[in-house]
Amino acid sequence: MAARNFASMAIRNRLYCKSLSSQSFLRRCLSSSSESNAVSSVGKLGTSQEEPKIWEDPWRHALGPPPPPEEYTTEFEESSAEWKFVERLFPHDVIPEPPKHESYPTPSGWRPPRDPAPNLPYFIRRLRNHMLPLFLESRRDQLNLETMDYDYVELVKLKNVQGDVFACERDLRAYLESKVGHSIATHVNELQGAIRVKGVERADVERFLFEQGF
Amino acid sequence: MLSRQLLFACRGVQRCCGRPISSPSSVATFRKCYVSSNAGADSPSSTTPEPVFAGRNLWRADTLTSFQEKPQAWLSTLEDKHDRKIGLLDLHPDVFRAPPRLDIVHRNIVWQQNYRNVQFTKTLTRAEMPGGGKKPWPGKRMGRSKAGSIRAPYFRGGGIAHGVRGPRTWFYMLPDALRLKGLCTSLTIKHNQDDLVIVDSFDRLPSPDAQLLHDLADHRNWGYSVLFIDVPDRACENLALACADIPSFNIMPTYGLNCYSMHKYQTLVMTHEALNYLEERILFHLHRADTLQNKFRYKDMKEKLLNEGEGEDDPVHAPFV
Repeated sequence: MAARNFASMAIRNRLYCKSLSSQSFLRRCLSSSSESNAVSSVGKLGTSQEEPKIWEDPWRHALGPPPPPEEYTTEFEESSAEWKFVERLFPHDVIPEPPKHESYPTPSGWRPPRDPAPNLPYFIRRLRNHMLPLFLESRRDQLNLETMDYDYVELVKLKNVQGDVFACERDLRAYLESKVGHSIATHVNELQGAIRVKGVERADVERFLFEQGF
Repeated sequence: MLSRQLLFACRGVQRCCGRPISSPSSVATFRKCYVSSNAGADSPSSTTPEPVFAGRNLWRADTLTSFQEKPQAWLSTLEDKHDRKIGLLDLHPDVFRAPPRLDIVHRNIVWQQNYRNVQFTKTLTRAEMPGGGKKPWPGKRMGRSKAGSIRAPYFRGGGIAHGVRGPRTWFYMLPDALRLKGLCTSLTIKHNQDDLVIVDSFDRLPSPDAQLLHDLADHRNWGYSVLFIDVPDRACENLALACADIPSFNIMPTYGLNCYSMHKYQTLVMTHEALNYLEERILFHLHRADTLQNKFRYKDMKEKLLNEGEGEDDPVHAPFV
């Protein structure tokens, strides 16, 4: 009995495998799938024609149809409460005003211009980034015959001088000569309102300007 | 009574005119100063515009310096030939009292004249000329001068030795800082020499008659050549028709303003709206966070330049360049 059952099982298996591998089986699969597609395109209903046959999908027959996929709602809600975190990361398009500090000078040494302006025959306007208009210029000096290299002179250029530029130059020279100890060379560009100083550091001229209140 | 008149006058001007100049003005107020300018003022329907005597809010004007005067300009109207002043405007000193840098204006004008030059001509050298490979006659016993090629420069019909060599361009871009300073200096010169006229609106011109415009210009002592500046690049009908008959009167939008034109035309006539727009744009760039010393790179402008003529294809007319 058991042997006969086993033999019939084996034959049945062999036949099943053969049917699986045969071309006709494939054709039947494709035709069944096309039929099912045709059916589904016409009317989406879970008919018995749509469901695959037992031998086409035995797992489905054993375990049942798979659960439907989880449905997520596509509604969304716009919230602008978090926009401020994005906005503060934007680069500035216009240079902002400097913040108000409790005491000056700030740790970097910056001071705002004195309000009202000092009562002098000249005025030195700040740059657009609220800094003093001090620049370094490197000019070629004479040829050094020992090293056969050109010596370079570093000049401090003070721009944006409005009013009497010569008066500013006089005051600047007097202050710097007393501070530095040696004589100083200056050049005044009246049309552009600029003074070039040789023999000082930029920090000395900055101290002069802060003391004057510009 | 007088104070109430001033109060009603304030309504017609910008919303923030009541704020003092020395208050710390943030970036947010910058746009408000210049954007909400003529929203309610001077609509074409009103016959008599309200007198504008209240001060304009000048964004980040330096109040500490006493060496830069605060310029003012009359606001007039084109309604009739008699010059009727309807207001007095405060102008921004950074734009209209800039230091007189004539060297920068010169550089701007030279740049405008030269940067568009393209040379298309080319002369051929002795190597590019046809023929001339063979020595025409032997060097000795001919009694003629030595010659190596019939296309040498000393030959009739020969190549040119140091000639014009091919397409060449004088293109270069001035840095933004210089162009801004040039504009500010030119506007300063125009205003200081009484060649700047500010008008409420161009659509108040009553008729497209060219003779009317001539009389108007004579009455107000404008120069021979007048440049009308408005914000949109579509001109008002009456003004456009009148200027079409007068060759020396021309209209330009604000984006076309340049040093060369400002010095070419004797008088500059600007609308109130154009003045606000110009001040806002110039001040923005004077205070912008980007550097003003920018190198012109073709790759930054390439897409914009190549797409310039997009949408301008016409089936009949040739493109206007």
